[in-house]
Amino acid sequence: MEKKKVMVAIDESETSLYALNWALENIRESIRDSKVFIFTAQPMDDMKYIYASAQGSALYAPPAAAELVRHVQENHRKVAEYLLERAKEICDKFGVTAETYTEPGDPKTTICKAVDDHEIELLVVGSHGRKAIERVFLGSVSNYCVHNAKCPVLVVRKKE
Amino acid sequence: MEKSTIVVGVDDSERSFYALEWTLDHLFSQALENSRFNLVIVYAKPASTTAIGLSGHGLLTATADLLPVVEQDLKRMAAKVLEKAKQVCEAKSVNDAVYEVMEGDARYVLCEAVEKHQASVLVVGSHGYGTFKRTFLGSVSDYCAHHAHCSVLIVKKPKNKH
Repeated sequence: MEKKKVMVAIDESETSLYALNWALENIRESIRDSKVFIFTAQPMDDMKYIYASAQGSALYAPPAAAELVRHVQENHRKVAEYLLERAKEICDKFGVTAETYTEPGDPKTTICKAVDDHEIELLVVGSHGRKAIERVFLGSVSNYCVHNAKCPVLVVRKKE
Repeated sequence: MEKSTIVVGVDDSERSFYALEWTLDHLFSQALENSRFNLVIVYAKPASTTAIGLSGHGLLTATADLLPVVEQDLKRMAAKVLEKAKQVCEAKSVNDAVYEVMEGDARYVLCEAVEKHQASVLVVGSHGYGTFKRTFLGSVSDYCAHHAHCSVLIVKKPKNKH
């Protein structure tokens, strides 16, 4: 029988690591029979600022801007890899082998695309991400996923 | 082992029964005694006054006579839905689930049920409870995803699956 595929989308927020732990603890039995993917996006928002500043410094050597872009992208990739390593360790503690991967881009769309690409059957996300604003009940990425992912979505909320 | 509670909201739509079955398949794959969860199935029964309002008759004439009839109809519907839910559960060897009818708007009923049972997960289908069909997510599921005080699982029925 084909294994069920579960994906947990994380970022550097405490909530998403909490979501991973929660999923591993509470739906361990179903997860054990499934293939687990851990995904994190490499958000590109700061790229806008770099390009903007590069426009402003047209007098200066463009290669410098390109170099900066490369540097920032490299940094993002390292952060993503670090997150995935940590997530993998958490999974190992629960005896679950997870496959990790990362894509650059806007978290909202990359997560939903990843769900499509891998035919994921359950997506697990935290209720908030990095910008956990007090008045917002559900983070924008989680909200987007709930509306647009093509599979069931489990939004893990941390109890106060 | 301390068990936590899962609340599943059902109505008479196919999608919510799909959500119930999905939950049973994925979270209750062993018999309930060995499972780490208690299952509570909640049906939100509209108040008879709301039902009349919705059907567009308005509260003008002969409402007093109409109310008991509507109320009886709604109760019958509630019993039917929960009976069906019971059959689905028992078919999957889940024999000690709790079945409840709570009166009111589904949005608030489900969030209240979470509080009442101190649930750790609320499961809803993506549509049902009479929502505008073209949206990707019904208003009840959306409300619950935002406001329930616990983790929320939204089960979507895939469109073209056999």
